[in-house]
Amino acid sequence: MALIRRNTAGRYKNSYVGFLWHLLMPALMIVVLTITFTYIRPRPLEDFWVYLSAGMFPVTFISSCLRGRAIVQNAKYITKMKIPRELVVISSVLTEFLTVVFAYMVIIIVILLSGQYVDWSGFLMLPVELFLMLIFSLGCAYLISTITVFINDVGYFMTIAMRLVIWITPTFFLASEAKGLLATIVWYNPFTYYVEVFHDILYYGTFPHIEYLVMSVILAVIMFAIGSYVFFRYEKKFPEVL
Amino acid sequence: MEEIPGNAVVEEVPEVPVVEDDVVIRIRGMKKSYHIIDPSLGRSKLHTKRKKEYPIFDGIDLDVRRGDIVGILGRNGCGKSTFLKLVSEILEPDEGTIEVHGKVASILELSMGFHGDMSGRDNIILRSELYGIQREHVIEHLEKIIEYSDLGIFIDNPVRTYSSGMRSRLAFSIMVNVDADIFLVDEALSTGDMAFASKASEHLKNLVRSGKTVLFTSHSMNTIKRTCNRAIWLSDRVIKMDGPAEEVVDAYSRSINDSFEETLHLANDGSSAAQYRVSTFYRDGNGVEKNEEERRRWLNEAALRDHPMALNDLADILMSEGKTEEAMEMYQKAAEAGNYEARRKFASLQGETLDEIQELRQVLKGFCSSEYPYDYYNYGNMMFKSALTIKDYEEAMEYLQKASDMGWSDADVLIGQMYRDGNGVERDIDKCVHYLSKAANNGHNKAMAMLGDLFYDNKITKKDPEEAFKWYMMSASVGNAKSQYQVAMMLDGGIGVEKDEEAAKMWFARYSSSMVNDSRKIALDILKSRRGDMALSNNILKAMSRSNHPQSMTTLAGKYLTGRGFKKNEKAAMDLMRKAAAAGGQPRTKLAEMIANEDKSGQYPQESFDLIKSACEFGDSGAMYKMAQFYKDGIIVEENVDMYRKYMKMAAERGNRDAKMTVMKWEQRTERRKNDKEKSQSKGNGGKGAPRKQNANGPPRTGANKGPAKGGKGPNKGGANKGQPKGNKNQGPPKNKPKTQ
Repeated sequence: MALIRRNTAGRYKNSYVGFLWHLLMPALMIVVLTITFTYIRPRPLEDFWVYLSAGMFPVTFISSCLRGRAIVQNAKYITKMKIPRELVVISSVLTEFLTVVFAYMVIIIVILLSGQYVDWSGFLMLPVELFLMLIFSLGCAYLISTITVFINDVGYFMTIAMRLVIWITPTFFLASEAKGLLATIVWYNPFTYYVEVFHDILYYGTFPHIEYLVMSVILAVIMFAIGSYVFFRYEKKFPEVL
Repeated sequence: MEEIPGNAVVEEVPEVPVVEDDVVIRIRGMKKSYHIIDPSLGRSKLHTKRKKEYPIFDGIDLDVRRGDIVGILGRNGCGKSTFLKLVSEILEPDEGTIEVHGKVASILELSMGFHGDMSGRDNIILRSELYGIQREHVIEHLEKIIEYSDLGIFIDNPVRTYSSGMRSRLAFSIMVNVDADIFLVDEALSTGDMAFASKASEHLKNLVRSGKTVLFTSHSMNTIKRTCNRAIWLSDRVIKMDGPAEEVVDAYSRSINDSFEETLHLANDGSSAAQYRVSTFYRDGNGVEKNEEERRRWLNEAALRDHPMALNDLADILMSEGKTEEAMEMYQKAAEAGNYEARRKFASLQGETLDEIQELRQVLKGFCSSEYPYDYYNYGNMMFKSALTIKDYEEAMEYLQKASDMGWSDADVLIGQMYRDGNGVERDIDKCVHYLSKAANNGHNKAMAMLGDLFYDNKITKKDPEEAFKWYMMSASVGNAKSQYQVAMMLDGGIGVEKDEEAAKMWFARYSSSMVNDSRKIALDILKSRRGDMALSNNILKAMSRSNHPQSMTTLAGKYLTGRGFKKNEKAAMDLMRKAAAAGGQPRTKLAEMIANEDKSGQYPQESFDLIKSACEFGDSGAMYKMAQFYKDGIIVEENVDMYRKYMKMAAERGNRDAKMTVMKWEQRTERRKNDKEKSQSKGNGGKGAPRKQNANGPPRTGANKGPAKGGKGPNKGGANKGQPKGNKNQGPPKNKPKTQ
């Protein structure tokens, strides 16, 4: 907990509005996206900003977890203190996760204010899906950050790879718009299922597709299993290698 | 129940850990290696291909008890921090076990983990939480922590604005509130100002008093000495030493002084003392290959910083290259900086030309053809005292060695001194002790005192107060004032010997009387050298005899006898001599001679014989020599060659020069006979005859009868020993000796 507080409370410490920035940042992000796609590069879709932000934040979150810097960045805790090492990963994932939660709070508030149609049963699935995504990301973070400890290059590679992921996940386009090769890739991309669930809930305002939900659960379980296996297998070596 | 480092206890690694109550950390056979990149395994870009096991600990056994405050010493990279990490279970050992009983708080790097943008106050809370303290508990004690940190108004400023000292103060204050049984602290007390460091050290001591245990590393020897009750020294993958903090720290700092790398490091930082030491390392090939160029370079560096010994050494080199002018300048500089050797060399260079010294050396060397130890010693001594180059020292050593092999104690002392100071030879304490004890066991007073100093002062050798006391005591009994003082001090403080205040008082009294007499003696010497007031010196002499100083009594008696400065008073002389004779063997021999001279009957008086006999029992070598002559000439006793030889040998063993020479002559003769070489007798006689005439005013035999057994003490003691060969030698080469005083 202290680590999360250190990461979150410390982030905007030296500013005038302080903790408010945690809400302000996603809100302003949404404003920027709206302006861009309404006035600068208009899209024919109605309320495209909801679609964008509903997809954008999860993708940013997962890719930040996949960047694999969690352990390397907090090497001093691993090498100098006796704390459960998984806490270092968990705390960094949770810190990023908070951003998503705050962003969704903003989106929901705006949606409710604008009086759009909302499917309440779908809304109930939102925390469930967020949790699944958290588990999936944690698995990813375990795996990638462990590898990064031993092979630093992986971390740098993942940073670039994540830029690509944004374009092969239906964030700026609709999944149904994808044609040919892109369509294949999109549906091989595990992120897509999570993002589509969020799209269903927030943009389309329906109960999410059951197959997407099932895929979310399966992916979360598999990823978490692999990630934690690798992590706990090698965590004892961390202090030596770092 | 001191912990003994070693493998003796490895076997009892228990299946079911049986732990005594007070052992909180138990390490058995612990091994640990790191992977390092070894360039010798090729230049592959892939690190994995060049990795090699690098053992950092190889079998560590250690018990730490509750209430121990252990300092961990060692060079950089010896594994101090790794050791603490292993104990705190951040790292795991490859082999062996580490049992830790109690909660561990590892404060491995105090100022890490602060959030720069947050205030000191918030950081206290965050850090404490990381140490596992409840938030409420921290807030409760917040004021106490802030007060302890001494940060005042800065506590509400962001930590990034803090100085490093303030950071470590903050960090340490947080630790104060941490509740654990074992504290591991890495380099904690090195930052922060003095006041805070002592406060922190006090806190650690308090922790220990309340039953906690502390392990900490530090490069500050003083901190460890002050704070710890125990220290371990890690080196070469094992615990090199484990024991009371002071001893371990002393041993460690000695080893650092002897380590080339460490010294080189310091030298590069500009320490002139270290630069000079580096030059000596290069000179002796100690820990590095011999390299004259490097040596010269470092000497230059040190000389530029006016390091007196470097200046002196550099001047020596210049001297040997014939650059006398430059050398003189250097000597002068070094002399001004207080270097005794340089002063002497400068003075002797200024006083006389090198040619004169050379000439003198040649003369003395010429004497050596007699193959007498005395001549060897004289030449060696001369070479040593006037040595300008290493070669000179080497030559001095060679001749002193010859004299020493023949049992000349003065030579032993000088050799010991050379080994001690590293004059012309590599420093070798073992050899130094060997030679000095050889001389001391032959009754050489100066050697005893030097040995005492050597063991008492732990700079060179390991401190050994008991050994020191032994030697001081020996030397004090023979009347060395400084040793008497040391003995008194040690008895008083119970150092190296059981405390005995009564005995201490006694030795203090003896010291003070020797001191008074010493100053009187100095006054006498001065008066004598300046041909000062005869009456005054006679008064001093009288005062000294009144305090039962045997030597002055003898001298005074001599004056009464000859009528120099006094009215001739043979009766007074006789009385004085009798008094002096009561105090020891040497005056007895003299007295016996006086009585014999008085006696006009032509027969050797029985009284004299008795005196001589009792002096023999006192161990006076002069008396033994005399006794030998009695047996030879059949005076009072019957002629008896065996007894003659026996006494002669005894006298020789005790250091009587003439006896030694006689004994040596026997040996040479037997040798010659054995070799069947008809070396002409005349050559042998001529060879030794010539130098004697130059050296001593009289024939050696009579000279030695008057002189003390250990005549080589130098001119200071020469007041009473008119006939002593060495005292007279000074009159031969007058220019050399006085300057060396």
